[in-house]
Amino acid sequence: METRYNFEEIWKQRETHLPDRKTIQEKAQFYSKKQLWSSILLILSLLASFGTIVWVWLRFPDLHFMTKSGMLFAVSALILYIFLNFQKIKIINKINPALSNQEYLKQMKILQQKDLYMQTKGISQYYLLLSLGMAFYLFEFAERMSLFWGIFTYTITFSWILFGWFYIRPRKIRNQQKKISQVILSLEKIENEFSG
Amino acid sequence: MQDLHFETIYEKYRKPIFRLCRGYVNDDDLAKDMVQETFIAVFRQLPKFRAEAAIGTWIYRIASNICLKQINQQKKLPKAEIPVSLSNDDTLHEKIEKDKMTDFLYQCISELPEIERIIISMELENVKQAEIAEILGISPGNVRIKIHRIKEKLTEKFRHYGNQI
Repeated sequence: METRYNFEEIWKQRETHLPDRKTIQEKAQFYSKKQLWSSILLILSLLASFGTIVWVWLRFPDLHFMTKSGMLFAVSALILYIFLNFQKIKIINKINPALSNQEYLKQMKILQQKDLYMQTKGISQYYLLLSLGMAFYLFEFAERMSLFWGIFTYTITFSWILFGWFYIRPRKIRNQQKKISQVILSLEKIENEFSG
Repeated sequence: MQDLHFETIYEKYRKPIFRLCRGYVNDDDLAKDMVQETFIAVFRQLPKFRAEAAIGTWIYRIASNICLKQINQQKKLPKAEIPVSLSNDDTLHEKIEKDKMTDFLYQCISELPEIERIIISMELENVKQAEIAEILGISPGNVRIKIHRIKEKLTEKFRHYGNQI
């Protein structure tokens, strides 16, 4: 079919004001620094978490084993959370933006699938550690209470844990699954366009 | 020998890359952000560029990947109104001005499937079909067929819109 429209000419009429080269370079340098700082902050927070464990262990040698274990679990949950976020940033940065479109889409899909795994399994592990932490930590204090208050404290604690496990956790997982699955679906749709 | 100075690259490619992004999302501000993101990536990746490909191919590859990354944002975008086919000749003559045609072309392109948007934008920027194939990761024959189909689609839409420029 012969085209009667000069699409190329119409296309090239689009003009706009774009920032100068210097602005782009400054932004690139700013982002590099920002990225470096966020990595440093992540490493520092991991070190701080480890430091806290060591400090508690040494500073309070008389604390009950259960209390110390509780603290360990809670801090481990925090470390896991930081680690999962760190992994995500690492994967994103690993994708080479200069790949062919087809290869890039494949990498994006792998990233999303990894993210989905981390967000779902990771959330469960995080809740499990945090719940164990709370239950263990309270043991020493509940032991000093009367039977009634001990049962009361643990009832409240376990209710909260069960609420988190059976309500908050599945909700969070569902939301993440929905969000990431949509992205994966869109990526697959684009992938199919290559063969269409 | 390719000139690999960022300044030269930026001056040469910023407008074509803007048009590519603009055609992809049909939104000025978002397209500008995408141009920035592209050249920030170019600036950071430039030391790693090994000149196995032409610099233009390499830049278009980065820009088109940044376009593809817009999967989430796109759905939230309030796209410009689609100019509907016009009812009478007077209005038709008023509307067929160059900038309206440009708006309409960009609108039509942004409504194409993602890969077709990228292909036609590069074709309109005179990127060789072999290079487009390399950027996308498909065969040149496939690119040729797709370009033909896309141009047919656009011509059909323009026929609906008016008659000719």
